Amino acid sequence: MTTRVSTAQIFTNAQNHISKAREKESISAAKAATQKEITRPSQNPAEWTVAANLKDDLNIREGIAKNAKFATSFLTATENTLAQLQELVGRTHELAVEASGSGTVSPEQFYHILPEVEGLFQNVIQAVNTEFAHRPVFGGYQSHQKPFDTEGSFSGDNGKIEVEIDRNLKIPVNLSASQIIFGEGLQRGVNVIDTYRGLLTGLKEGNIQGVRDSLEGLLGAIDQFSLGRTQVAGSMTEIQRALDSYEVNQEQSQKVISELEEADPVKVFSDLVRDQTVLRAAIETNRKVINESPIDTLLK
Amino acid sequence: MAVNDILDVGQRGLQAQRQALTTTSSNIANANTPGYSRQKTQLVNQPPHLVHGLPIGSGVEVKKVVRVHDEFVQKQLIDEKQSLGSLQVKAEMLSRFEALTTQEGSNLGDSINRFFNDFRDLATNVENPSLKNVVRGSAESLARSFHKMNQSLEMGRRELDLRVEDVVKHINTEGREIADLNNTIVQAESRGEVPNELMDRRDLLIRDLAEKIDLQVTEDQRGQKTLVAGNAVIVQGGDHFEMSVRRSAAEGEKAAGSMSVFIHSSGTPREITRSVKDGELAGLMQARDRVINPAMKHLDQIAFQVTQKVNELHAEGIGLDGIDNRKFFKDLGDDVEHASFHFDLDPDIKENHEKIATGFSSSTGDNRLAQAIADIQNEKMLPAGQLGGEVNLTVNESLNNLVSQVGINTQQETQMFDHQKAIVDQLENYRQSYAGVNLEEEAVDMIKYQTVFNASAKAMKVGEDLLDTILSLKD
Repeated sequence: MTTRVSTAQIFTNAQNHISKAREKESISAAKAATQKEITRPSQNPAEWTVAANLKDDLNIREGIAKNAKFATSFLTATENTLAQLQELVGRTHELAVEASGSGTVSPEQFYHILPEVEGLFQNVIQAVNTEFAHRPVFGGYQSHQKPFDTEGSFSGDNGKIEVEIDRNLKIPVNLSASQIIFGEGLQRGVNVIDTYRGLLTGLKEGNIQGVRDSLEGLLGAIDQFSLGRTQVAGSMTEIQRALDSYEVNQEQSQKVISELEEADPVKVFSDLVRDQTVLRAAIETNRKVINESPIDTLLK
Repeated sequence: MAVNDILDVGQRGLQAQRQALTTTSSNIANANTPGYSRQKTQLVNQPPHLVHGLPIGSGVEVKKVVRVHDEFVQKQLIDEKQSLGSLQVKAEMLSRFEALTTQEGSNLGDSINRFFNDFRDLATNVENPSLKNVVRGSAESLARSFHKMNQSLEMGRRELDLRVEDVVKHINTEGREIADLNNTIVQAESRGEVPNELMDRRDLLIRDLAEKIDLQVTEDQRGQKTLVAGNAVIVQGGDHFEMSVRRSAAEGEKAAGSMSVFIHSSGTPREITRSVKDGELAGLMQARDRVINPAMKHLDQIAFQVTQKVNELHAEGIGLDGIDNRKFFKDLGDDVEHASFHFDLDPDIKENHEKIATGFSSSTGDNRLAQAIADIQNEKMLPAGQLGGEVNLTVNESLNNLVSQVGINTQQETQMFDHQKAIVDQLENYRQSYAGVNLEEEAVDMIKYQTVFNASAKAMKVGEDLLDTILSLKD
């Protein structure tokens, strides 16, 4: 049975063929121009959602990583302070040993040592008041003022400043003054300020026993600062691990996003060439079909 | 047999071929007319008369001009076009809506990220006074993004309602014309005419109407069509019953203030919205009620949850001025509906960013509250489904879910539309293949009728010559 074809059908079919070929060519051209496989969710809702969630995750992690780096800087400042404190207390210990070691030392000689120890104490006070980005490293939540006055009286608190270093992972970035400076909660903890006060009193009063009593405290203070430095190093290691994990994660996520969203350039361009050829063929074929109607011949 | 008979037969031949040529010309002229069915001239030979007992032919006459029509295909087309109309409008509207939602969703997603990241920055560096200002700025930007997306969805809803109104106007216009054609066709037939063009026009209108609303068509004994749409008679004989739209209260999936459809077949308008199941009208209302409304509810839910969670925490915080129980965002009460429209900063915070609390104490370095607010972004606080379900999505995931749900709907409707279009194209193609005009055929017919026309004229000439010969005998 032969199929009857109406004239309007010939034109409609020609139009449909060209229009379909044009549509495909246009999609391939858009992919080639943007190098994107998915430009709207309906092209692949599941993959689009995965890519969108990954992009959000990357964005959030980027913010967290920035803050983790800030926390690292804060911890570095704390570490420098502790190192400085160790040096100051170490020098103080040397002077105290010198003073306590000479049984015949005169009060005048104590007075010779005293100004340097007083100066070191003020340096210690200055060090424990160290600030990073307007935040004292030992002030806890009390960041509006210096936590120690010149006498060494403490007005800060033990507030733990926690910073998010990875999604759902927070660590405290400040050290507690009550632990590191006052030795609270530690076995054989030392109150550094009181130790200095005792030493200064001993030196002022020419009390050699008083000076000797401070020696153990000073050594304990050095240990306490070491403990603080260990804690800081631990936190920094943890941050570094989080940052490393962020970098790996970022790389992997970007790879997945790229696989989901980006088009394969070779495939895209070969598709484009193919679709352009199909379009040209559709136009050419339909031009022939339309033009080669025998109507003119018949009605001549 | 008289010589005059030759002239009569010739004349009838001329008339019949001329009429056939006219039909052919009309076919050619209408080759591109949508809905036109080609016509055929049915020629029959005149009954012979007996001359001296011998049957002598009396020539030809046009019995009728018929249109090539298949009622079964017409019915199939009506059925399939209803689904096509619904799917086409859904695919078209959702595709546009998807582009808009993707863009606005991406902006809103960026604003959400910025807002929580700024709170993270603030938590890391609470002493920096300018960061509170930054947080206020990102909160304002978040509010603008919620408003913009809400506006886009609202505009989508309004546009669909306008289209509903427009489609109902078209249904009324076409229904009125079909009712008029019902009358005209019956009148023409009663005069013995064959109103092929009018029937073609009525068929075309019915097919067109079927794309707009689900339609059941029946024909009475007089050949008048009765149209039932959405469970209501809209055309019966020469009577047409108007449809109208009106905004009405929320019902089922339909939001308050959306258009409902009514029929005016008796005194009081009767609502038929629920009975409209197919065609453009149903497609528009389904896109509005099943895609845009849930998306709007979803967006409101996100805005509401963000407001509630941030406010609950912020109220626990203490500002540097020592004041607690302060909201961060404008209090929405328990009203989830329109939350994305009303989403805004608390006036106090808007006025002075220093009132943003960052800790649970008034200490300047207390960052716990700021960090807790930033943590909201990681909290699973929204349901998986648009209309509920297990609470297992973060705010970002929920927003991506909203956009992807629109994508899923668009994908489904587009695929179904492509499939349905292929079916309708095939049917249209089939209808065209037997009812459409083929110019080659018509050209051949023209030659055929012209040849016989010329031959008939020739026969008349011969008759005339014979008469001349007879008349010359007198001389």
